[in-house]
This record gives sequence, C-alpha cells and structure tokens, in this order.
Amino acid sequence: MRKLFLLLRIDALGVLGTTRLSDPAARRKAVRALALGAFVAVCLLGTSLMYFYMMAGAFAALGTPELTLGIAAVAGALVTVLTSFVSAPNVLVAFADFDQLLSLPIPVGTVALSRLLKLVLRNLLFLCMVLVPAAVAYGLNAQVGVAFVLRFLVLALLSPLLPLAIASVLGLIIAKISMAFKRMHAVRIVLSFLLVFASLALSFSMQSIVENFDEIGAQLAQSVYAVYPPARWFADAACGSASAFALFAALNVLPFAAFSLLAARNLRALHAGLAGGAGEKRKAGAIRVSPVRRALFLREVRRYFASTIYVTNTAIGALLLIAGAIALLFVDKGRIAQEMGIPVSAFAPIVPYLAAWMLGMSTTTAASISLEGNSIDQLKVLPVSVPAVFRAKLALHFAVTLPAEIIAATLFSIALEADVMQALLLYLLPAAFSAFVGLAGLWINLLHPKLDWKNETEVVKQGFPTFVTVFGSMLLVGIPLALLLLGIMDAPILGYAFTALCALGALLIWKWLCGKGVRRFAEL
Amino acid sequence: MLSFENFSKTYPGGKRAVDGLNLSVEAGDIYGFIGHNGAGKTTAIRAAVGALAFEEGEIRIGGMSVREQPVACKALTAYIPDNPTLYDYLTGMQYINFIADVFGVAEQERQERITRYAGAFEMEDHLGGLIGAYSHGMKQKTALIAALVHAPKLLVLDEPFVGLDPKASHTLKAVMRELCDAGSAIFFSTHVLEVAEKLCNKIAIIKNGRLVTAGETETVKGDQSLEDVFMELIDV
Repeated sequence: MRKLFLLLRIDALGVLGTTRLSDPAARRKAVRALALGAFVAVCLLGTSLMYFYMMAGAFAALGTPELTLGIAAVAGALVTVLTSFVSAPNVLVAFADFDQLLSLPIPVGTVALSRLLKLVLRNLLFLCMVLVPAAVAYGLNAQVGVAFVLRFLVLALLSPLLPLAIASVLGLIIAKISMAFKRMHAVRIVLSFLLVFASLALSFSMQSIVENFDEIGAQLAQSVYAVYPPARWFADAACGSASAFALFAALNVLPFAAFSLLAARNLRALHAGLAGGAGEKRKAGAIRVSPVRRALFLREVRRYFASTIYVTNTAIGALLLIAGAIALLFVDKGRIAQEMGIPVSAFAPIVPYLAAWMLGMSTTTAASISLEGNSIDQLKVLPVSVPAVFRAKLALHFAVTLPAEIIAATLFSIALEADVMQALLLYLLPAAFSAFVGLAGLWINLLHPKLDWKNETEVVKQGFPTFVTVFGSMLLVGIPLALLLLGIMDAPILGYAFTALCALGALLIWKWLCGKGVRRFAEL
Repeated sequence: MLSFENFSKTYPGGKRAVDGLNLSVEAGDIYGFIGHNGAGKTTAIRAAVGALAFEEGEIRIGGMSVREQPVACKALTAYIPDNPTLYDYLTGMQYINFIADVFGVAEQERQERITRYAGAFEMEDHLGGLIGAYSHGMKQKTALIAALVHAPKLLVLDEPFVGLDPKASHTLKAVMRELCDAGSAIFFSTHVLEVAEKLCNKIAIIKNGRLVTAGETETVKGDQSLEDVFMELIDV
C-alpha cells in the first residue's frame, strides 16, 4: 500500500509540477494557471448545470425526474470511453519509465494498479463536470436528503470503472491490431476515428430521442437506457433502490477488477506486445533532398502522424466540420433551426461561427512545443531561424484545418444558396479564426511548455495550453454568436468585423512570436 | 574556430554553473574538456552550440558571435549530446536526411557520406528502422552519421564514447583524427581520461565552473599521467 501511495505521489508531482514551486516565477505562473483553470471549470460547470436544470424540469413534468441522472450517467460513460480509449494503452502499458519502474522492488501488480488508478482519478475529474451538475439539478427538482448525497458520491466514484475497462480493452485491441500492419499508425488512426464516429452517432441518436418530448416518460427512458443499460441502475440506485445499487456496483467493480487482474498479470507481455520490434533490421529507403522549409514541415507532419492521440484529438474538429457540411446538403435547414430553437432566418448567419467553433477544436499548435519534449535541443541547435520553426508548426496547423475549411465553406455555400457576401464570409471567418487560434495555441504553449512529459496524453489532452486554447476558442466564438442571436448587431457587419479582429489578433501574436517569442524559445 | 571569452552562466535560482571561462579551440585541434560531474562542462557546451541562452561573456564560432549570428554559427557546427534524444518517430535515414536538408547538403555528397559513415558504424541494415526502436548505441551512431553528413567545421561532442561498442569507439577516434586533418576542430567532454590523453592535442580541466588549467596535452600533464594530474587538480 505504501509503495502504491509512493507511485501515485510521484505521478501527482509530475502532473502538478509542485516541485518547481520553490521558484517565485514558477509559483506566479502556477497561480495564474490555477486561476484561469478554475475560471474555465466554473464556466463549464455552470453551463452543464443550466443544461441539466432545464432537462430536470422537463423530465419532472413527464413524471421521470430520475432520467436526468440516467442521461448524465450515459453521457459520462460515452465521454469516458471516447476520451480514454486512445490514451489508455499509453497510460497503462506503454509509459516512458516502464523499465525503470519495473526494475524497482515493487510488485508488478502494484505498478499496474498505480497506472489504473491514475486513469480513474483523471477521468473522475472530467466526470464531475457531468455528474455533479446533474445531481444538483435533480436535487432542485426532487426532494432529496443526505442519504441521496452519500449514495450519489459512491455511485459517482464507481461510475468510471466499467467505461474505463471497456475503453482500455478497446484501446489495447486497436493498438495490437495496428501493430500487425506496416503503416501501424495510419491503421490505428483510422480505427480510432471509426470508434469515435460510432460513439458520436450513438450520442446523437440519444440527443434526438431526448428532444422528442411528446413521447411518454417510460418510452423515453427505455430509449436512453438502450445506449448504456447500466445508467438505469445508476439512476435507480441514486433514488434509493438497494438492488439497483448492488447491480451497478457489481457491474462496475467486477469487470474492472477482472481487467486489473489481467493487466497486472500480463503487464510485461502487454508492454512487449506494444513496444514493437526493437533492433529489427530494415534497410533505408532512397535519399530525398528537400529545401529547408519543406524539411521542417515534413518533420512536423511525421511527428503528427506518429501519434494517434495527437491526430484523433486535433483532426476531429476538421472531420466533424466536413461531415456537418455534407449533412447540411441533405437535411432540411428549417428543421435544424427549429431543433436549435432559433428562427430559420438566423440559421445561415450562424453557420460561419459554427464552422469556426469546430476548427477551434483542431488546433495542432497548442501542444506542438511541448511535444518536442527532451529533444527540444535538437531543434535549437539547427542552423534555422526560430520563426522558421514556428512557421513549420503553423503550416501543419493550416494543413489540417484549411482543406476542411475550404471544402466545408464550398458545401455550406451550396447548401445555404449563399450570395457572394455570405459565401465570402463562409470562407473568410473560419479561416481567420483558425489562423488566430493556431497562433494563439503556439503562443500559449511557448509560455507554458511541458517538456518533461512521460506520455503524450499529458500534453495533447491534459495540457494547460490545449485546455486554454480549445475552451478559450469556444468562449470567443460564443461572444459574436450571442450578439447575433440576440439581434444586437447586423449579421454581415458583425461577421466581417469579427473576421478583421481575428486577422488583427493573429498578426499581433505573430509579431510577438518573432520578437519575444524567439527569446522565449531560446530559454526553453 | 571556437572561443569562450569570459563566459559565465548563472541558472535561475542562483547556481553559477560556469564562471569566467576563457578557452580557444583552433582549426585542427582535438580539444578534450575534462571535469567532475556538475563541473560545468555540459553548460559550456550547450551554450556554445546554441541550446542554452546566456547573458555574460561571449562565445564565438568562426569569429562570429553565437548570440548575434546564431544561425551562421550553427551552420558551421555539429553537436552530439551525451544522451542523443533524436526524433523517435523518424527512421534513421529520415533523420539523417532531415539534418542534411537543413544544412543544405547536395544529393551526391549526401549519398557518399551516408554510405561511407553508415558502413563505418555498421548501420546500413538499420537506417530504415524507427529511431524509437534503436538501442542507445544505435542512436549514438545515427547522431554521429547525421553530424558527419554535413562535414562540420566544428564538431562538439558531450561524452561521445558512452554507449558505443569498442569497434564504434575505434571508428569514431579515426573519424575525429581525419576531420582534424581536413581542418575541422573538435571539442568534446569526456570522463575517459585515457582516451583524452591519447586522442587530444589540447586539454582543459574545469572544476566548479572555473577553468583550472588548459593547453597542450603534453604541457598540461608533464611527466605524469593525465589521471594523476586531474586528481591532483581536483583534490586541491
């Protein structure tokens, strides 16, 4: 137990970086980061609470208030599977200090358990964003006591276990299948995207069910629980059913325990299976000569596609944008506007902002400095200017976002039968916003790099710059969107003004990068 | 080719890693840089190659300031760190090609040098594999081939013999002599005093960030072995 605690403590020190806090500058930076993180967390919790409060009111009217908790459990499980299946193999098995940890006098089972608990703790934080607001919203609509709070706390702690066991098994299977192919990373990326889109299709089908309030409560509950059956026991258990509590606990604890046992017993074999053929003989291909700019860009491209988690985490926005644009060709715009609760006339003007919002999720630059890791010196000693390095990183960002943006803008223009000014805005606004977010991501990452990571998940998914860039971009798009929907500003004027502001912001950040950014890079 | 002029480096937190270092490495020199762990060798080396920013003193490569003309200085230099953290996501050949592209090495010269050095370090059969799957020694050899592919005027190495097998060590020594004969300069840190004594024409010893002695190897060691001289100087 003491050794398990020591392993978890070492991990926590690495993630939180508290050992660096003796330096006053690092302390100030940490306080600023904490304040910003707390602000974003409060915003997310507030949004989540508002959403669940409205939902709880509607379900209470239908006589099924506990459905709020069921939906939260379904959403939590889907989010856990979606956010963990790519990272689970890295966190559990393919971590950087594997050899070092296994050479210590610590039982292999303890090492495996520490990795599993790391995964659980990380997911619990995200689950809180969904489960706690749902419980509060339910509590405000139904009479609940201390017993509910206690039951709910235990259920919340148990709820990530089954989704994590599923995500880990899926992640390991995908990793193992892809190992059999020469283009291992490409196969892993394709399989990962297939799983992401399957899960999203499942969650969208749930959304359409939830919005169909004219169905009676029981039918509605049946449809929701079909997506993730244990959610029914979660809701019933929270409302006081002892048998549902036992079922939910057993369904989470037993598969997780079985997976933990298997992982602990086979940790070395799993690691060997994912590590690949070390020392394998492979003749080199032909020599290809490239100009410096292209060589730097190609290095970025190879870095990108070598990491499944980097691709799935950043390309998803661009892929969703294209999927959305194709869907809009075939779906009735009036119905979408009706489902969104906005007038039909307001739908076309918000499309450029929705495109910008999706591209905000596809920011490759926010992790690009951190991903250099301990090989950052390799880049610093090259005879190239620092802005050339930045340009290569930005070029990758544009290579991921711009093609999707152009395809989507063209399809949107056709679907919305846009005139010249509208069409121009469909191309320019998301492009300018993407440029701004790409540069902002690089800027934030340069100010807050994490070069001592042990696996890519720490910087690609959990990194402070990624968090700030993605959620900051969502908040930024929300401002003009609100002005538009409230009818405060004329759509074309607002659109072109927002585009110009994004372009100006991008220029200002580029100026900073070429001045102070160069010095900052040298200090890394 | 490389000169430290009153170079000092203080890390945030106040640790003065190097204090007033003056040293000059000429073309044709194989210059050994010796000191105990934490003496300041790696700090001085990283500052020279542009991996570490500094504020005090000056470092020049080919007469140019490392701070004022960093790109031009780096274009003359190849650097191999003690633990080469190359890009694990590239194959050995992709990495060497990347370095050759950045240094603008023509295709024919590139082909000749890669063939020659890959053969010398017995890496021909491995350059198509991912660096992430290489052993420490293979990474070291790949870093050496990438460094030699652009025929550097200044080769800076931090503990180059650590992790190399005896044959590769022998090859590296031969290549170092060959480069110096061709007019390049080599500056390297090492803890292997026997190698330094046999290989270097000049030696510098650093202790707690300060230069203790520097000059021709024969002058520095006199009638004693380099190990005896080093122990005497360090124990003072």
